[in-house]
Order: sequence, then structure tokens, then C-alpha cells
Amino acid sequence: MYDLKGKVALVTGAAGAEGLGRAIALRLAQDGADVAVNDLHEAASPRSGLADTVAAIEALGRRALALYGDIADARQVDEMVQRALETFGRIDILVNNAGAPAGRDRVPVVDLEEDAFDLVQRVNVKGTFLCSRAVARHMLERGEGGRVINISSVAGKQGVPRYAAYCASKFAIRGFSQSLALELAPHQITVNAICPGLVASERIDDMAAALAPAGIDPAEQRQRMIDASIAQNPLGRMAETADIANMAAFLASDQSSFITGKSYTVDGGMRLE
Amino acid sequence: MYELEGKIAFVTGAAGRKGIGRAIALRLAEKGASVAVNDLRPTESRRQGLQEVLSEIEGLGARCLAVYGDVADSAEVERMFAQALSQFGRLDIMVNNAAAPSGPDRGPLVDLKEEHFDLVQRVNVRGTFLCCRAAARQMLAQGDGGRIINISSVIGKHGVALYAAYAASKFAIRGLTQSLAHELGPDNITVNAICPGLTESERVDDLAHALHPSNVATSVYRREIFERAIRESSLKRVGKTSDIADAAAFLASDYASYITGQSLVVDGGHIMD
Repeated sequence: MYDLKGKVALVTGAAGAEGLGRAIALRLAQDGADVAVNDLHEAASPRSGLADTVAAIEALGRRALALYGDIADARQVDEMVQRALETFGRIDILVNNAGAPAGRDRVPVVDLEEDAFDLVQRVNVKGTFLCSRAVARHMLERGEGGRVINISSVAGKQGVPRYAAYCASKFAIRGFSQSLALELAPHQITVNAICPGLVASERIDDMAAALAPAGIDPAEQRQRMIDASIAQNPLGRMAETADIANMAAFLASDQSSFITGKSYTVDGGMRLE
Repeated sequence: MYELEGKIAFVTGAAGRKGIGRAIALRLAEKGASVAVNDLRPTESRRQGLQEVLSEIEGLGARCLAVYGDVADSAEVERMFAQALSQFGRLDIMVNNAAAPSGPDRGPLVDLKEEHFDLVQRVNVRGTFLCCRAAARQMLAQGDGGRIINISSVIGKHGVALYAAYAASKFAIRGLTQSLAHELGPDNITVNAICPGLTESERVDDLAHALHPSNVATSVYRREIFERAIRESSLKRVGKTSDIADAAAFLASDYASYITGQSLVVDGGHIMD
């Protein structure tokens, strides 16, 4: 546990019931933060619900606010940040977690359609840029430091076949984080990225559906991916969303005040640097 | 010296008088390749650079074709590749060098305008994707291997303050390069990136213009950029476009047939990893 009492966090992409965003939002709330949570809309996926995330945060005795909107639209981002500030008066911690769903972009480059490529860059890269810009402006104005945490991926450190659009976007997030870290360091605002390995979340379902070869059932593909991931993993399991949330909480806390510009891999030791 | 005899190369962004693209195109031609050179259509402010490259290459006794168009527009990319193929019949070496000019994107993230961020991603990332896709399709159809060389930057390995849009784009190029290298390896097509440090080209003029503080003249600031780069490099000089062209010619040659997915830093020994 970290002491985030009195802090306010904004977490994007937090509607998925088993998703990373919700796990991070709840963990920050457990540690004492009030949390504004964002997603595209209430029914972003059949399993999702931002209202559920809000209820779960409130059940922990913290304040919560649901912000529906497109993080890749500057006007909507500015409005959402404004609403969070009106409600909570400040933002100490920004977690850029929202990502485009795995879909038609998971194909070989020679078959990759422009619109599928563009969507991934738009949500993952431009969305991270616009939310960081809006919140950094507020943090600079307030002058009391802050934390920006961007969710990259192990695929942001190493390319993977059929993931060119995704890898480009997750590498971009790391480059962006480093530049921003250097710009904001004099103001005691740290900027770091987390690079999760394969996480047990609903994303795996989307990935399996996108990657299943013809004639293979997505559920079987899903199990194959999980089995392969576990077989290769030094710690012998996949990441739980809680593993990533633990790292986010650490990076959000005062205990990480001398850490900035870093990309921390949380993958059970798969990738060693 | 003539190890690229009979090979066909395509180099984007080759019109700059002192540019990296031009140096690469000339070097590949010196080594025996026929070269299609690309840049945007000339306007009054952007003069006939590509025609000069064409005559220089022809002066070396090599075949050359100038293809004008926007690398980030898929219809134009298709048209340019069709032109090059109808002229030369095949493609062996693709060099993705074209990039957005440094301009108002170079500044603190909190002041960065959407349109400036977008332009950098569009030319650098989308342009590289579209040209990689077109080149890879052609090379796969030929079935006898190939070389794809993407120009990233040292800022594609380490973020720098005031360069968030640029760093995001140059990291993205490395991610895309790695994914594509995995995909095309079985077909003997290598995909690598070059990460130049500060290189003496007209880009430095644009950079000095974009970044000089209001109380420091552009020319003075330009000198300061050079002096800092010289201090930081082990070899005590800034890069020449010919240094980058040497690396590109190596990666294009048979000498580099077992090298793929790599990011080759050419910076006089500043970054070491």
C-alpha cells in the first residue's frame, strides 16, 4: 500500500470490467486517491461499464467521477479535464491507459489497411499526447509537481510480427514519455511508462479473435496464447491486472519521486535487459 | 565498389541540397544501383532539388527517375511505385528517409498544437508504413529477397525535451521496423533502421530557426547546436550526410544479409548501448 490520501487521479480507458484501467483506478482508490475515470462511452464493449468502476471506487470510500469522451479529440479532452478540476480541484496523477481495441490492425504489414493503422495511432499516441498536454498544463500552473504514467507494452520495446501498428504506437509512447519527462522534470513532475507483458484481461479475447487462423475457434486460439505465454514465462504465469496496478501505484506514490523517463517492464521476467 | 550493380533502389525525401536522402541516393548510384528518388512536388519556396539529384545520378552513369508525391497519401504512393516499376521493372532496396520538416512541433509539449503533432506523425510514421507496405508487397511478389532501410534518429532511442512529437515518431519507426523484420525475415527481406545523431544538413538550419531563443540569433544558436554535438560525440565532430549514406549502403549490400530488425546508431559515439 502507498499513501495517496488527498491525491486526485485521472485514469483513461477504465470501463473494462476485467481491464487494466479499472484495476489501476481501484488500486489508486484503495491507496487513498479520489479518481476520475474515463472511457469512450458506457457501452464501449459488452462487458464494460464506467458506472460500475465509479461504484466500485465509491464503495472504497473515495470520490469518483465518470468522464465519457474521446481522448483523441482535443476539445473533449480539455472539457473532461476541466470537469475533473471543477469536481476535485486538482489532478496529481494522470494514467494514460486507454488503447485502441485489438482488431483488424493485427495482420501482416502487407495486408494492413490504412484506417486500421490510423485508428491505433490516433487513440494510443494522439490520445496520450492530448491528455498529457491538458493535465501537464494544469500541473505546471498549480506548481506542486505531479505524476504522469503512460501504459506502453513489451511490444513498445521489441517488435512483434502482425503488430506493426501496435508496436509503432507503443514505441511512440515511450519516446513521448522520455521527451516529456525531461521537459517536466524541473517542475517535479515525473513521467514514466509501464510495459506490461500479456495480461489476463478482456484484451486477450479481442486479440484471440483478431489473430485466430481460419478454422481455429477464437476460444481455442485464446487458450493457445495463454498456454504459450505461461510456458515461456520464467515466473510461470501471465500478468494479472493487479501486477500492473501495483507498479502504477508505486509510480504514483512519493516513493518514486526520483524516477522519471523510465519504461518499466512487468512481464514475469520474459524480457531481460 | 560496384556491389549494388543491377539493383533497383527507391529513396524518399531526396530533394534537399545538403540532405541525407540525396546523399544516400547518390551513394547507392555510385555503387551501381538504379535509383528512383522521391520528394514532394516543387513549389516556389521549394525549388527543383530533385531534378538536380537526377542529373547528378545520371552524371555517375546510373539510371535515375524522379517521382513526385506525398509519402503519406496511399494513392500517391501506389502511383509512385507503379511509375518506378514501369521504369525499372523491380525493387531491391527501399530507403524511407522522407520526414516532416522541423518547425513549430519543436517546443514544450504543453504548447504543442495538434496540427503540428499530427503532421510529424503523418509524414514520419504513416509515410514509412505506406512505403514499407508497397515495397514489401513488391518484394514478396518478386520472391528473391530485398532490403528496407528506415531512417529513425538517436531521438528514436532516447527522448529529448522539446522533441515529444519527433521522438514519438522516431520511436514508432523503430517499432514498425522490428515488427516488419519479423514478418519478412522468412522471405529474406531485411528491415533495419538507422539512427543518425546531429548531421550537417539543411535540417540543422530549420532546427536552429525553430528552437533559437528570442535573444539569440539563429546563426549563433546554430553554432551552439554544433558545438554541443561535437562536445558530446566521442569522435569530436558532427555527422556528415556521407556517414549516414555509408551506413545505408552497407545495409543495402550483401554484406548485411544476416542483419535485420536492428537500429544502427551513427552519431560519432555519443549514445552507446
